[in-house]
Amino acid sequence: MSIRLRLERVARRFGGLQAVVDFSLTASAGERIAIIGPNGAGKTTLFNLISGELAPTGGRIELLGRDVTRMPPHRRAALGLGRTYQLTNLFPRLSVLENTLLAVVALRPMRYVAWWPLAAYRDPLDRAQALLAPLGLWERRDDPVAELSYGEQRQVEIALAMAPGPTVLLLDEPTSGLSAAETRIVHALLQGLPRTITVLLIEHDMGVAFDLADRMVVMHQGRILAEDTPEAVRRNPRVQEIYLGSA
Amino acid sequence: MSRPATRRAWPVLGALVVAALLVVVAAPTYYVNLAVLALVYSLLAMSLNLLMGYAGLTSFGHAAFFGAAAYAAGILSLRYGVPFWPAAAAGIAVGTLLGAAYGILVAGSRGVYFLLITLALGQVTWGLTLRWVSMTGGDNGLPGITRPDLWLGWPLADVRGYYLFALLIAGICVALLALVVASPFGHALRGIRESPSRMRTLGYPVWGYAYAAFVVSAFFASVAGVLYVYYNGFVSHQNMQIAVSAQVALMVIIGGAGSFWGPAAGATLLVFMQNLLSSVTQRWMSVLGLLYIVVVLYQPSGLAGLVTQIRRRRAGRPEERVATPAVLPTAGDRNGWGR
Amino acid sequence: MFWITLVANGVAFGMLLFLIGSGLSLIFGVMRVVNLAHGSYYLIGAYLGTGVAAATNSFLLGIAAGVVATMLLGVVMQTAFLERFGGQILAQVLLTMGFLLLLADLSLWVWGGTPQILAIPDALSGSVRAGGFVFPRYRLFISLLSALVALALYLVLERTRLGAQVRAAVDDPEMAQGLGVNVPRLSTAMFALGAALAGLAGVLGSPILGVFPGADLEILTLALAVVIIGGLGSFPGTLVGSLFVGLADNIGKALFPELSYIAFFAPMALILAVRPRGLFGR
Ligand SMILES: Nc1ncnc2c1ncn2[C@@H]1O[C@H](COP(=O)(O)OP(=O)(O)OP(=O)(O)O)[C@@H](O)[C@H]1O
Ligand SMILES: [Mg+2]
Repeated sequence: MSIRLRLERVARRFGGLQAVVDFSLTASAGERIAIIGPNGAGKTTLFNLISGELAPTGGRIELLGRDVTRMPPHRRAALGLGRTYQLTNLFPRLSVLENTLLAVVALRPMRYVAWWPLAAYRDPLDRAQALLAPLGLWERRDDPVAELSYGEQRQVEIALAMAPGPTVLLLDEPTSGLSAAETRIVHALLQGLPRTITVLLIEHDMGVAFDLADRMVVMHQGRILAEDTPEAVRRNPRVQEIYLGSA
Repeated sequence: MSRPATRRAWPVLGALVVAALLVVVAAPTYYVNLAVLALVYSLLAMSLNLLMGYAGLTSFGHAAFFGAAAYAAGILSLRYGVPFWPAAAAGIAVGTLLGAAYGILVAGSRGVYFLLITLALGQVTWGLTLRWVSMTGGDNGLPGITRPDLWLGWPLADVRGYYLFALLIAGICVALLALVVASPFGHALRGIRESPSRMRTLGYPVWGYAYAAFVVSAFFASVAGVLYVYYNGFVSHQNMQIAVSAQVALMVIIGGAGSFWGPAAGATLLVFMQNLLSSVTQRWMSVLGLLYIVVVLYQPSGLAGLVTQIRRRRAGRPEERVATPAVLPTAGDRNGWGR
Repeated sequence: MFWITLVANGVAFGMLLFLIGSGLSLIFGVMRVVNLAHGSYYLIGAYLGTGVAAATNSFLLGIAAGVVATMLLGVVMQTAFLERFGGQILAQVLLTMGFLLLLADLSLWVWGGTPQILAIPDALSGSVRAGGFVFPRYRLFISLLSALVALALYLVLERTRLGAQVRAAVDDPEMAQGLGVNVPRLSTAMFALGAALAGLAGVLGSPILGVFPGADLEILTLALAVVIIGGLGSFPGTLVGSLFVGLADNIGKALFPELSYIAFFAPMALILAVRPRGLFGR
């Protein structure tokens, strides 16, 4: 199996705080890895390092065989990296459709076109419809995304990450703050993701995490505490003590 | 998307064109003069709106490009006898190139830093112009620039002829701006206004978009500058002062940042107010100063915001769940410097 | 000799710019407000100081009048207007623009359009001889007085609780608020201090620079260059930036008067390109 993402002793300091320490991980094509860990373990920081929004203070990051350690975020996205945010990060005053279209055309050459209306392009519109319809949001396409319910916004969050067709996808707590019913919807949405995509999933909902993951990584104080199959992690006493105990 | 809105806009646009043309035949000369100024400042305000309203980048140095283009065209025509078209083209080129140079210095900043840096660059450009007496005439400016005689059927020396010319040029520019705003590029600018970080991780080179928006904006400001200098026949350092930059920003805000036509309405309103009031009071500057304060205190979302509020009230949903247009960026924007 | 005079003048002017730039920088640092009316404090201070000094025949009273009036002006602007719009960048900058216009028009109304100049007090006129060099005494006085103010400011910022609060607020206003710093009160203090320093600079500067309509904008421009070169919110940055701009402006004016702005504009652009947060900014 080919390796999509490789982290080698990646580290990030904030002043005196070691948020991520000597973190090494590889993810193969189509693999689904859940990252769990208590609050402040450094999970989101890790995603920011992979996506390029933060520069690592040490180590090396490889995406699809290329060294991207110093590459700006938009070029990593062009290589096929997508992500969602723990704190919903959409375009609040733009409509649902505009949000989606921005994501759909993000990596197409037409994103540079400044002399022809976006609305005149048929294909991005079809793609947006294909993304929104299953979520039941096509009818609400003209509403500003800020007017959607929180649960709907979390779904748009995932739709935006999926729109450009990523090969590596980082999902930062997609179910956080959702009701049980909403969590089931998002859970199903994630289950339906193509198996070709490599997924890194940060998740506090253990049901979702254990169900989706092929492999689990337990993070604690910036380090990997355990890395194993979901069953093994579930039985690991240190994990139970440090992670499940403190959560 | 905006299809129904566009359909509703056609009759309005038609009425606007008819009204604009009626000015030529019906209005007294004084008002035709004001109408030319309204066109010039509308174009200038709309160019700034591309940055302020769409990209969310509030520039306080926009007069630099307007002034540089006006000076360049004026100097070429006055000192070197260059004919209208080449002088106008050179003026636009100078203003746009200045935008291209300054853009490099500001495209990585956002929020209050962007405002501060554009302000400083604009002010230094103004100071430079003021002291470069041999080229710019210093405090006295450059008087005596004459209007060209083109083959348009109506002599431009007559203000009605010039009005038609300005209407044509401004109309073309506004149409181009409308295309830019509706294009994928224009949508990307709005995305950057809403969330630069998301745009980056989606794959947009945010710096490049901000830079391009800055240059495009400088281009249209330069066209306005050239239209102005040939109308006015005179250009001075006053045309690139902070007062102009701030006033254009005020026009955008009064009209409603991020609404396409709002800034033109704001510009027209201010041009007429300024000229009508300054004919009755010496203290026009104080009135303008008070206007800044009043606008901030009472109607920060501008005319467009007012229209939205009225519409909502009519539609029976007075409460506002969504913030009205992108007028007053908050501290959240201040975290500064992207890549 | 030519160079000595040039440098002495440049340093004196630079120290005046420091008085103005430090207030602009502190206000920006604590509140993230771009105060366009900062040059207006200088203008009002200069006009009032000149008027009062001429009327009372006392330079000291002139200074007191200029400083107190601008301080009050700053406090009123902050507490009655800007405070309500905390965090709203554009609202605040537009308010200060309104004050810029109002104050400019008001002073044009009161003091007219002809430039005014304050006579150098007798005790400070003439020049000082030292080892074959001749320094104009008044410029020496400005430099020393401003240096004293700078020292006092430095000690307050580095050694006192108030200073620690200011530094915390400059680093992160929200965090500082969370840690129990009363940011609104601190902001008012910064406005009082910044406006008073600019007013002081106005009175001190008016014997050598004169005061005239438009001086507010020229000073604002130079002060902006100072804080951009030095780095916003940085004390050493403001000092270095002001001395640099003061010297560059004076030397530029002497060598290539028409393009003298280039002397600090070019370095400013260069700094923006390579260190967008200024020499000492973080
Ligand atoms: N930009 C930053 N500056 C300073 N410290 C930071 C920054 N970002 C994160 N931290 C710190 O780094 C540590 C790790 O934070 P991170 O957000 O990565 O945790 P997390 O595992 O995602 O937690 P949660 O489950 O709560 O989302 C925390 O102590 C946090 O305070
Ligand atoms: Mg997190």
